Amino acid sequence: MAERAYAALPEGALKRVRLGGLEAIYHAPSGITHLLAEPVPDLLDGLDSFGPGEFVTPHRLVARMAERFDIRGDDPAEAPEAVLGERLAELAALGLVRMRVGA
Amino acid sequence: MRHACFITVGPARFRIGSDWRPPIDQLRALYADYPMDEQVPDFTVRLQASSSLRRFVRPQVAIAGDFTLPDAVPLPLEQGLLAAEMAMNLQMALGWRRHLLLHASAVSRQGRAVVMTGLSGAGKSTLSALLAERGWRFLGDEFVLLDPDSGNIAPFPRPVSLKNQAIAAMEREVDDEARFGPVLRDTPKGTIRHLRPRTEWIEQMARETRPGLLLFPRFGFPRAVRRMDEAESFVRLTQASTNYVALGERGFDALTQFVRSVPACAIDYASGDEGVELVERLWSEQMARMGDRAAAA
Repeated sequence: MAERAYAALPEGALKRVRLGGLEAIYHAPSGITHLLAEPVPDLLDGLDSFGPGEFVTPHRLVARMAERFDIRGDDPAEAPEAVLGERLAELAALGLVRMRVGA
Repeated sequence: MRHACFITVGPARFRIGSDWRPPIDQLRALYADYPMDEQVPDFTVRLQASSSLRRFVRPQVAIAGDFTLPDAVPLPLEQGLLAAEMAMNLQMALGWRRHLLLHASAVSRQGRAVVMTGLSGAGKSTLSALLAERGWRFLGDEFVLLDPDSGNIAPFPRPVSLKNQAIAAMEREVDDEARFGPVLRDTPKGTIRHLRPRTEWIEQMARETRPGLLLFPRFGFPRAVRRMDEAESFVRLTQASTNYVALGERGFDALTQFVRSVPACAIDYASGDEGVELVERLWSEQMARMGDRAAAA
């Protein structure tokens, strides 16, 4: 299967506000508000750290996030990249990140 | 329209036209203390016969105007006042864009507002009406208008729509029959009677107020208080707003700022007196916290 890569949206596309333990995210292109829990805000921050338009694989994102977080899955048999990839695909379906398939 | 009147409530101006005279006369009486200048209105409402014959034979009032619902059922002429009130609510709910609209009631004291929201029938109207008779300034019982730029609340003090057992409760509380509208029986919401706010709250309706406390009241349950976090308040208020989606980013900014700036509680109470006592206690606690913070700064 072709590898998927993800990138942050252009600046200004998302407005994010912390509300207690959750984050309210306004998606400007659609006008839809999302209320998301950890680790989604950290994933968005991780992608942001590469800059908008810079597509990265889940593997690269895990490596970047591992600089700040101790990344361990609930199931030792499951690779963090795979779990992260699933979350990123969900975010891409919501329009909150960009996705590219293949090189 | 054969008959018409102009009514200003807070920042909104309405022109109400009618095929019949009685609903206009009732509106003029109920809104006696409100400005009725013939200015360019924000909204026009029309109470018209559902068919040409219906003007004379068992007359039925259909609601028309700038904004309408296609499946709204006409009301009998005796409920023409209710039709006018519903039509005015509809214009605000569907057409107002200057403020974020929350389906809520509000009162204020010392320049800070208590906003009370909840499902229809939760008791927020009656609680605000009781508080307004006991020293609180009445800001509105149907819509709270939150200014997206300043974060202030613009008063929208329409007459309170009292339903069923709330009517007798407020008749005991208010010693001025002239402030009540006619009793409207057998409406889709049971018996309804409107109560005009005290004159001073109408005279002050151009003066905005800072929000201070957000409450989610429920009448008819054993006394309970539960703190509500920002995220839950936010979700509930998006559901309580009629124009959150229409306002887009302005609505998001206004609502996130609002829930971050005011503490929120869900309160259950078994009687009106208990509800008033709970609001006043939570208010005093909040004022004390604000005083402590100001002193610390």
